Amino acid sequence: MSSVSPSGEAVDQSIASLGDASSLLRSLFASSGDCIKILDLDGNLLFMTEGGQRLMEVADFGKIMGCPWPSFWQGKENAEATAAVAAARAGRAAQFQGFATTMAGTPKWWEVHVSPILGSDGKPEKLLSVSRDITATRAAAQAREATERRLELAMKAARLGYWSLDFATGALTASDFSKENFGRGGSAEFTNDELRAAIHPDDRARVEAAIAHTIATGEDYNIEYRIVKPDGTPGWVMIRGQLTRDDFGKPIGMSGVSLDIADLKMAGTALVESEARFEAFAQAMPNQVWSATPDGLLDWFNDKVFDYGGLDFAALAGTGWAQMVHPDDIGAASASWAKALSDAGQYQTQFRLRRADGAWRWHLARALPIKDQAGAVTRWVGTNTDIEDQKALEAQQTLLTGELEHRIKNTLAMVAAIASQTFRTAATKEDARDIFDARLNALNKAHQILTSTSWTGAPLALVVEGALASHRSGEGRIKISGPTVQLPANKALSLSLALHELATNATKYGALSVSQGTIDVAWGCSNSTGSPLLHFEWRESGGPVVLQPTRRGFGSRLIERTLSSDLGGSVAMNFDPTGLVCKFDVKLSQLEAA
Amino acid sequence: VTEKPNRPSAVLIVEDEALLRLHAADMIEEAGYVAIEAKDADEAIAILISRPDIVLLFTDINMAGSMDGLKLAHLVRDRWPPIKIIIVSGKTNLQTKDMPPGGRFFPKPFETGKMISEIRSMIES
Repeated sequence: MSSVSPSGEAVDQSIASLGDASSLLRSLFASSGDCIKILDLDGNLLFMTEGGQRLMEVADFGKIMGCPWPSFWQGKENAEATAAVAAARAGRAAQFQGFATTMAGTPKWWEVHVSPILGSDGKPEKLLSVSRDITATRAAAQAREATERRLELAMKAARLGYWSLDFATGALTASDFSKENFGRGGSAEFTNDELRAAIHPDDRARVEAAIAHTIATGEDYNIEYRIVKPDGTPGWVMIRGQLTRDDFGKPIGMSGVSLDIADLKMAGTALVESEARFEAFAQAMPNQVWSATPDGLLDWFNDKVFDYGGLDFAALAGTGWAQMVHPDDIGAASASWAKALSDAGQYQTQFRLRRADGAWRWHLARALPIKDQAGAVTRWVGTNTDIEDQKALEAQQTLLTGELEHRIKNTLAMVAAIASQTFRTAATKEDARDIFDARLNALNKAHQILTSTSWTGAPLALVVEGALASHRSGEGRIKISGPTVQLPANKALSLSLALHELATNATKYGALSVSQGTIDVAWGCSNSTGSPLLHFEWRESGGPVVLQPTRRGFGSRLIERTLSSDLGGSVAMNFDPTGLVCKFDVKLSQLEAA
Repeated sequence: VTEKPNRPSAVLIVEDEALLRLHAADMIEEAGYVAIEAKDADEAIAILISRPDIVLLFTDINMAGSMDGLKLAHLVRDRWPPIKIIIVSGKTNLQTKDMPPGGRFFPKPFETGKMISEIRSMIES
């Protein structure tokens, strides 16, 4: 310290007044890192230690000596400094914290103590002001506070609770969130005993064992267990923790975090149930069921798939299923699948799948994407339905419809032909009507016979019986005999009409026109020429004398055409005076082939 | 039936249903032509080979035998190009591309009067 400087003089005077302690004080002042000042009772600066001058960045103390010390402070701090001076003058120590710049303008935070220096009379004689630079410690404290605040926010956001347990006292400290995890309000008490009581009875032993393990090994405590909340509702918590140790490494407690995982557990349970439900449905379905990853690789099949194709999971998984598809169909199926994958839309196609025995059967394949909340595909679920029978039925249906239409058209054409033939020869309208009705009736009879055999053909005996039934009088005048011969459908219709015409003529002019006349209808088979022949004969007798007609009638013309064959001239109409005889031969093979 | 001074042209009728064949024959004769009847394509071909006076084929489609009426019509178009062709059938879904060139199709049942004038105009043209 310089004894020539004004401050040196002042301190010398001050220290002199303090007596023998001067050397002790000097060394104290010199060693202090604080800014130590002596003020008069009005608060004017009398002295500042050299260390203090450095701290305050004072270039020339002479310029500020005698200035009022509170005026170095601004605003709130100025008021506090003034109040501190007043307090010290009144004999009380005062302190405050505040901001002020140094003489060079450096911003700093200060902790300031002002106390009275008592004179020998015990009254304040001067004032001592000690200012400590707390800028660095304040910044560290702020950083620590910020860190703690961030941690708190993070734990809040994660809904994590914090807890700690003191082994010595058994005291449990739990954050509001931690209490909430266990169904308690933030202000409620939550003791370690209450914590143990909240654990589900079935999980209690497991929890105790885990804690004991952590204490014994020092390993982390990590457990999920069920709890029962105070209102009786069940819950799930996840607890993580570590041992806390004293300076000697001895465990003194545990601390960690807690989390409510009830929703996660429920979701997990729901997922397991949902998967089980899906599998049960999929296995119960009569279709082949499969699923695929979002990129279209098949990853699950029900047993129907394995049973049908005789291939196992390894063979079918991924893109292996394609080997089941018919080579002619795989191109279209793959394109359809690729399009569905890129559109995330419905997949639908038809293809033939090879059965284990090598048979190809048509299937309808359909799949739909399962999407998450964002709309992204998470999985595909698809089915293959065997439509082979359905396809065959459809084809048959089409065939039947076509056949039915053809038959109706043909029948209408026959009706038109009958009408035309009837009206061109009938003498009167009434005749025309009666003849037309009778011919339609004959056609109808033949239809009935054919319908009863599903139009595969008709037994000759039935056709003859049907055609002549309406001409019978119940006296046994028409005799029918012959072996079983099957007529093709188209021959049956025309033959029915032809026989009807013969019978009609017999009724009008022949054997049936008188009471004694009879008709013998007989047929037989022979094989004399190498190809089997059917001989058919219509013989009338007992009627009036038969005259050769001038014009051949509809019936005989029809018979000729119905039964004409390669055997030229085999149809013979003999207008024998004793009765009409109509004979024809027809190859049996022709009957069967037609 | 009106007889023309020179020998009338012949029309070949191919129909396996006797009643319809008979009716068609009456119709052809009413139109003034000679009706030749065949009950299937095989008979029809045999007749075509032996009779050069046939100017028109009048055929059904559905028939038993080695070929149906449509195939017969195509064969006639190829082997006897001048012969006119009329096809009748209960089928209604016959496509134009299935028909032989120049052939005419009439669904069954047809109107006799219209058919007669159609046959006449085809033959006289």
